[in-house]
Amino acid sequence: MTQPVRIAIVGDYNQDSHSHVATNEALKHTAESLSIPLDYTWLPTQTLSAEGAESTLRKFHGLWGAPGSPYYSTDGALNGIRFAREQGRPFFGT
Amino acid sequence: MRVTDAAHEETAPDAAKLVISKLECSLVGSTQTVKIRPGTLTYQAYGTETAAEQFRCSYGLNPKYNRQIKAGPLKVAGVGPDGEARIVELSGHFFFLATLFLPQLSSSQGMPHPLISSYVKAAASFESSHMDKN
Repeated sequence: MTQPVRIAIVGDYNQDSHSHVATNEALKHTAESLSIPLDYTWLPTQTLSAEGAESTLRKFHGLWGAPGSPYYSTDGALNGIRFAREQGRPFFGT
Repeated sequence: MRVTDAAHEETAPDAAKLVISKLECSLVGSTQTVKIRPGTLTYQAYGTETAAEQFRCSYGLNPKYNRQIKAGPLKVAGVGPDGEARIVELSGHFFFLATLFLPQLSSSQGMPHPLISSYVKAAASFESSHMDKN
């Protein structure tokens, strides 16, 4: 296994949010302790309410619903969650 | 549970179907013991029947919809002191889990949170079983 596991974090990243920073840190240290190479990308909710969201989401092996409601786009956030549900992607909402 | 106009009290306080409503008392900044239901994916991850978790939220599943939720594939896998939903998981799905608390706040380098470890492992196994589709 050479290619990293790709995680999409569905949410509107705010560097001043302790929970958001902690989400990144948790993914990093968990992957490291499991010796699983992992990359994560934040997907802003507004980008997920637009055309082409599904082809973006398809590239990921897991989705993480980030804390921080209300989202800029509730529809975008729900699209991400629905994709995970319907397409059998591991999903974790916190 | 097919409530097509399900709403969240935070963004639509006057909606008719508030599936997500304001908690009786806000959990912002508190640590609460969550009781884990055996026989769930959540329990497999924790391996314990209780866990102390950190909350930052003021909204949760409206108990009014408990019965409707129970009838569907979403299972309550962890509850608060009065039986309120704190962790839900989707049966029939490989790994689909949501918490009202923030496991990332209590996860550390030396001791990753068990739910986060399980999630990362699930994503890794999804990756290895879908190599051909990448």
